[in-house]
Formats: sequence, C-alpha cells, structure tokens
Amino acid sequence: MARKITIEPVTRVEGHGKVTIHLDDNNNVAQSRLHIVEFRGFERFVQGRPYWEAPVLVQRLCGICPVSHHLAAAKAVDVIVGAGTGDGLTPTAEKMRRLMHYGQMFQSHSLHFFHLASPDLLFGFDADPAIRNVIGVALEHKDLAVQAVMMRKFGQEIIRATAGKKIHGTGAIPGGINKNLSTKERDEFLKGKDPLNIDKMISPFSGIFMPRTRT
Amino acid sequence: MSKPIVATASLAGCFGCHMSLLDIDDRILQLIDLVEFNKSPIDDIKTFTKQCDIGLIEGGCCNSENVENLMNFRKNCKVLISVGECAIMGGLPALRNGIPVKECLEEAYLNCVTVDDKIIPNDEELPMITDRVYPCHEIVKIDYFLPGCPPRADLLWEALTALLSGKPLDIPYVALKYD
Repeated sequence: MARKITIEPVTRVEGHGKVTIHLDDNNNVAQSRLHIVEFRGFERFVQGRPYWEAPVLVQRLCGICPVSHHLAAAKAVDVIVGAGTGDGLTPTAEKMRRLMHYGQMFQSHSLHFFHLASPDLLFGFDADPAIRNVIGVALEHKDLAVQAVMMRKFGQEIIRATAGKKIHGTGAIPGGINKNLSTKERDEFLKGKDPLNIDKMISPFSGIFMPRTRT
Repeated sequence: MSKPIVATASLAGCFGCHMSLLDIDDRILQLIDLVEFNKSPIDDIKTFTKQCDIGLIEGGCCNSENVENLMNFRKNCKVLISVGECAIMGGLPALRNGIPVKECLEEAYLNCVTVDDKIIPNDEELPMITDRVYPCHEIVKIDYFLPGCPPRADLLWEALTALLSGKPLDIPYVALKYD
C-alpha cells in the first residue's frame, strides 16, 4: 500500500522545513518533497517603510545568516542614495562590509559542520537521536566541541566588530558603513589570546580543507 | 538529583534567539552539565519524551502549526518563557498585521519582480496561515519574558542560571532599550 514518510522538523539545515517522502505500492520512492512551512510576508510588509530601515528589517529573515540579508538590502539602498552598485562606496565601507560577510560565512560554516553535520558523521545516521546531536558531541568529543564553540565565536566576534552586534547588527547603512575597525580591534583578531586569533582559526584545517598557501 | 529538563522551539522566528543562546560560547558546556535538553532544534529530539521543567519559545504564531506547537509546549513544560521580541509581541513578522494575508501571498508569489512560476502554494502539507501574527501570551499562559532582538547571550545565561537557582533576575536597562 502506498505510504508517506514525514521528517519534521528538518534539523540538519539552517531554518524551518519539512520533508515528505511518498512511497508507491512496492515501497519505491514515488516522490520526495521539501516543504518550506514558514511564510511571513516580508515582500509585502517592507513596502512603504522608510528606505533606510531595509537593511535592519530584512536581516530578520534569518538569525543564522542575518549579515547576508543585511548586505543585500544595503546594496539595494546604495543605489537609491546614488552610491551605485559597489564602486560608489568608500574603501573603508567596502572592506568593512566584506569582512562582515567573511565573519558570517565563517560562523555559519562552523555551525553547519560542527553543530549540525558532525553528529551524523561521528555517531552514524542510525545512532540514537538522544546522543546523535551536538550535545552528544560535546559529551563524547569535548575537544572537538570546544573547537566548534571557538570557531563559531570567532566568526561572531568579527560580525560584532563590523556590524555592532553579533546578531542583527546595524553596520551597513545606505551608501556605506557606520563604524570602522580600530587598530585595537584588528589586532585582537590577528594576535588575540589563544585560540581566538586568525592563525589558530585557520591552521587546524589548513592541510585538510584548504591549500596550505595563504595569500 | 536529576537535572532540570529544558525544551526549546522556534515558531515564527528567525532562529536568532537560538543563535544568541549559542553565543554564550564555552558556557554551553556548563549548561549541558546543569540541564538536560529534550525536544529542541539544538538536539534531534522531535517529540517530547518526558515532562520538561523549562520551555524556551522563540517566535510568535503566524500559522496553525505554530499554534499547535506552542500549545504542546504549554502542556509539556512547567515554566514557559517567551524569548525575544517575536514571542513577546509578534516582533518584525507582526508588521504584516493590518495587511490582508492575500496581499502578502500575492506579492511574494505572483507580483514580485523575481517570481518565475506564478503559483501561490496551497498544499495539504502546509499549515494554515493565521489572519495575523499572535504573540505567545495571547495563545497560552506565559510565565516569563526575556526582551531583545535577540536577547543578549549574557541575559539568556543569567536568566537560566537564576531560574535554576531560584534567585531573582535583574534585567539591566541596556537590555530593555530599543537597539
């Protein structure tokens, strides 16, 4: 008899979702479907708001990747204020926004690899859900968990230094950026206390995931 | 003595409050010593396996599934906490209150300049969208409220440890003001 397998919520992606797998009479997969269950209506309700609100409004689409949405909206309002599509920004603004997004990518990839994917890789897909999660990783592989926490923290600290807050910052404004990176802040990332500095953050993986040469 | 049990949920939120909980950084290792987690996106427990002491709710209610989930949390948690602006007063998604749902759907799926296949999703698997976004306390009784968008990591940590030790919590002015 045809039946349906429902996976809800989906816990290995960043966000809300549901998967249904429809099986036919011979238990073969007839259809697999991903359902995006949350509709909020941003496309409509941002209309009519003051344009400078856009970067802080639309980043609330996602608390895991707010910077990406923050910058997308900032680029749109750059055009409105006559700063063009990138070449109208000051060098400081361009660099600060890029660094903000590098921080975003760093923390989000750390989160996905360590917090979401690593339990399946370490314990196996069929392991007991009570242990096959990031808390299980912390209990069984504490060193790895500490590294996960520190790598995510490093990315979040870069976002805080460039956007003002770790989650839902206010850094990018129409046509530019509202803060710089002081020499003191920069040095904290370059030669901060172990392990929260750039060499420590990159070196454990340099031989595994990246070419050894750094530019 | 068995550890207090904590469950968490993200309703019509953005997961920012859950991320702020992760922003307690290395204290997360202390937290898992202090409490046991049950149903939560932080682990992979999808249904309540036991009665919980503390439920942390992120997000308000924008669809029928959020409402059912919230009522389920009320039934299974002794203390229920609204975490962040969306849970407390609907937050940013409540900007759609006052706009007909039909207009929001049409803008997103029909009229928006980047839409290719003009179809409004209407599938039996999808929850019913509510007429407006409801804060959690309009659906069930909420015991405590933690402000912020998201509440700062230190506030989440202090609130949890205060609750676990039965001490009162001072919410500093800086955590209450608009940012």
